[in-house]
Amino acid sequence: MLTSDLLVSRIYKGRIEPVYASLNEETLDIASSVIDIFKRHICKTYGELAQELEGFEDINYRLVRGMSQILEKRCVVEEDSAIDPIAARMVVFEEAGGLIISGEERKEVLDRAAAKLSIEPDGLEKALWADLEENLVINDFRTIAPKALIEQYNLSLAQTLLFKATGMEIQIEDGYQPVFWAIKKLGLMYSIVDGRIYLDGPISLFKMTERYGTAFAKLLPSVMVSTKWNLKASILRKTPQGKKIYEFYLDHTRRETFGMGRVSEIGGDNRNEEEEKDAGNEERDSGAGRREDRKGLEVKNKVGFDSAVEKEFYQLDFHGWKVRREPTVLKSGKYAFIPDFSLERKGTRIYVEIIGFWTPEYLRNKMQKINGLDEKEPFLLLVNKSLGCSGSEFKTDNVIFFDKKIPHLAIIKILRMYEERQMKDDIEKLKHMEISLDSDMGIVSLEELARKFSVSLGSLEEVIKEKSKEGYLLLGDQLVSKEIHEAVQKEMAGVKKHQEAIKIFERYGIKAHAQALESLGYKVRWTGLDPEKVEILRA
Amino acid sequence: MTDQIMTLKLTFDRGTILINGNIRVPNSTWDDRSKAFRTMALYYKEISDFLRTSSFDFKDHVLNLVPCTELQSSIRLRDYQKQALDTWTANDKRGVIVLPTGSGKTLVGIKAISMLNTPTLVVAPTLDLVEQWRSRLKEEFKTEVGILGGGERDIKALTVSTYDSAYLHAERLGNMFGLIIFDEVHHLPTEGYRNIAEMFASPYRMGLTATFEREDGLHKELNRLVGGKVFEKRLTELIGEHLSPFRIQKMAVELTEEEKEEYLENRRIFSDYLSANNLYMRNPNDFQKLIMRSGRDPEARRALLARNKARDIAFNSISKVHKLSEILREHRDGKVFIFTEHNKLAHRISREFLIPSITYKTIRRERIDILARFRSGIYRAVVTSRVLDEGIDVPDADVGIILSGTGSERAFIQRLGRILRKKDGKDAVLYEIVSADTSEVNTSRKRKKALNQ
Repeated sequence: MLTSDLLVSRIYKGRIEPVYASLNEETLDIASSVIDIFKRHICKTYGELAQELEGFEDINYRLVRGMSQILEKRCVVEEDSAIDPIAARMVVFEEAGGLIISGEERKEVLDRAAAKLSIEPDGLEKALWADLEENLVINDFRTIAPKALIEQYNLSLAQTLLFKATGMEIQIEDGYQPVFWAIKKLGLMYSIVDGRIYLDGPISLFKMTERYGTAFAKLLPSVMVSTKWNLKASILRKTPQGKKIYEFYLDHTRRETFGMGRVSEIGGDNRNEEEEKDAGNEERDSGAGRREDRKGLEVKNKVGFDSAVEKEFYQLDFHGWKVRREPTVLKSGKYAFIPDFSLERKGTRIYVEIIGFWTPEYLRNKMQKINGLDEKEPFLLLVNKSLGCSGSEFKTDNVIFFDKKIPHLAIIKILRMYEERQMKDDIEKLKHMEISLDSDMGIVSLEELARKFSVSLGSLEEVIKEKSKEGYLLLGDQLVSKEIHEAVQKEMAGVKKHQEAIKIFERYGIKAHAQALESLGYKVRWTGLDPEKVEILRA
Repeated sequence: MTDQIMTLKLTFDRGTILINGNIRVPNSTWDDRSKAFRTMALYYKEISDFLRTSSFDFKDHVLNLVPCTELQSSIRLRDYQKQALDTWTANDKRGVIVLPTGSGKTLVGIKAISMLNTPTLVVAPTLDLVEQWRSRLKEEFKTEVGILGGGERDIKALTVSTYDSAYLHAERLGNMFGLIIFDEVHHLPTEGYRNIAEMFASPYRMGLTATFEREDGLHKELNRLVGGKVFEKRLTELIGEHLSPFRIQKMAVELTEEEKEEYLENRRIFSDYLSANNLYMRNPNDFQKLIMRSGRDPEARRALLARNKARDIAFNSISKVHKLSEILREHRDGKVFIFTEHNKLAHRISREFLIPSITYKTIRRERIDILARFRSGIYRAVVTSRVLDEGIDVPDADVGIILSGTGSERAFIQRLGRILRKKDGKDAVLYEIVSADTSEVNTSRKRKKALNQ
């Protein structure tokens, strides 16, 4: 995060966006030059570094200074003095006693003080001011690749813009848990509408405030961990015409800008808030204690599980049902509720909650949340049998008790039930529906058709078999028009080799070769193991 | 649970008050996120008073005060201090007391704490003032005092905080103190700091300042945040009687030839840019615009840097240092405080004259030592940059020297206040050294105006 004077932003049609540094050659050159300047100043003073950077700033001072601010955090600085400067000053000022007004008097005082401290007068003069910022010596510098520096710079820009946000809304596809932990830890409040998480704080109810801007900025890295995410923030700007609100949009498609490969490192850029944000616009605290307690917000990068049972569940195969972990956030009254898993198949989604170790209070709480969901969703509860909870208290049919191992078969049975139920529903739906095909379509894939009507493939096949489609033949998973069928038939005249026939089918896009041959009245004759010699005969 | 009729319950939630129950109280808003009414902690007293006078049955879980020993002080107030405290007490123990620097505002605060005998948070703008309050409170109440700011986070029944730290920690601390005292309360109405008053539930509030009015008019906000002005005593009313008289001596110094040349060159770059772009510097807004421009336009940046350079030359002229040495020679036995605009000059003087310096970067331990040694007479002079703007306690200084100033009237009065401590037979002098023939002369004229009020 940068100081706000280094924020570069652009406003266009009510939107505001940081002017990100692009990863082009020119910027990469600037980045590596700035890094070089830092490298060259290892063992030199901070003042020398600052002076050289100042000379370099004319290229693009906000970019150069912004990068410098990031690199400064990678420096280890130290006082270069034989004795503690504060102690040295105390002795010297005491020795001076009153007011020193001539060069000779000054020299005498320094000599006397040096003798007291048993060091050389020159060493004393140097030690005296060794703790001034410009006299600090850079002992070490953790270098960084130019590209990574630009990416960190860009992330810092976005975070610095968020300092001035009065509210933020986010949407994430996965990784809810770390985001909600962070929301809680940062003292934010949320409301959820249709999967969008609206964020602000207690005071936001009464006035537009930038108070929670720092928290939004700190939240950003954990949002970015999600596979797909987007955010919209309202940014308060003071303009000569008064305060104005601009919208700031950002989503995962900009991943490149921030180089999301190094999320954990980005998560480390959450520095102490006292250092980052001016509370009032006039006065600042002293710099004392500045380097202390930088509160880093932990960003969980790898997938961690709450229990071994959850891990086991995640690795199971559910016959075509896709397992997603923490798939969404549901609203239950004033609570957010993140189910452990979802099982998804062709538009059907069942949430799974695994209840392992629990206290009665925990269970009551969980039940209340599930029963109070704003929108009823199918839920499957897996409850550890050994803990003796009765399922009757849950308003859901799908409670499975288990003992140590995940009841895989029982779950599959329930999923089957859903599959069958869905098939029945689909068939019912299709029966009452006119399945119209565009007349110029020669071949229709049932899979596409099923998707179009949002039914399962199985139920569509069933219905098509039952009431065959005028002018079409059903070949495997495709409907093939009579016209195409005839055209193929004509081309087949004189064809003897099986391979040639296949080529014709492929040209027309017919996939079910065996069924096609059969429908055209051919048989296959094998005369050995060589596929080239396979022939076809008219039946 | 939600369907049950509940007794009204007030709880503190991160700087606000949650109101569970089905009575609408004044100033509250429905919060759909929490399914309850909510209001700023600021309105706690108003709401609980309202509920009490309407005889509603309610549970009040708002305050969670820091455990507190008896807070008693036997301090004696001067007549005008007592008058100030009485008026404040009569105003429901809320409001702002305006007293000149050096007239003992701190004592009024201490007496208020003793009278209410409740955990108190004192908020002050600088670490020096925080330190000063801490040592005074410790002395008066014979108890350890907590500090918030400058890297410390220690909460006690009596705690002193910077404005910045109080802002940052209001969520957590807002219900822990019965009384909150804002020293130099004119800082409070700024956009950010305002939050402190809004997020603290403390029913009793006191503001202290020497300069109630703000140029931007925001002092009107204090009515809502602390309570309006309840008492005021002007500088002129107290001089001679309680404060020592003082004399001002203004001295103009010429820039050296070299400096003059550089100064003019830089001014020229600045004004050339302005005229080439049809810009006029009539108010701070115009200047703000130039700063904005400098982000995009390298020429604007060059102009801006040149202007800063020119100012730098005028403020930090070597001639001023020469003049300073002359004055110091005249006051070899005096106790001198020297003020500069920039750290750079403070350091230079410290180095050249071997005088201790205090800037905003000086760590707490060292600044405490320096001030203590100045008081006890081991050091006879201290040079400081703006950091000591607010009324720090330097009781023995009899010579003040301003080497460069902000031109702000308030800052001037407050700096002056530092050497206006009443001491028998003392004649305080304030020197002001400005550069002749530079824009700084105007700044000085502006400052003078404040004195003639």
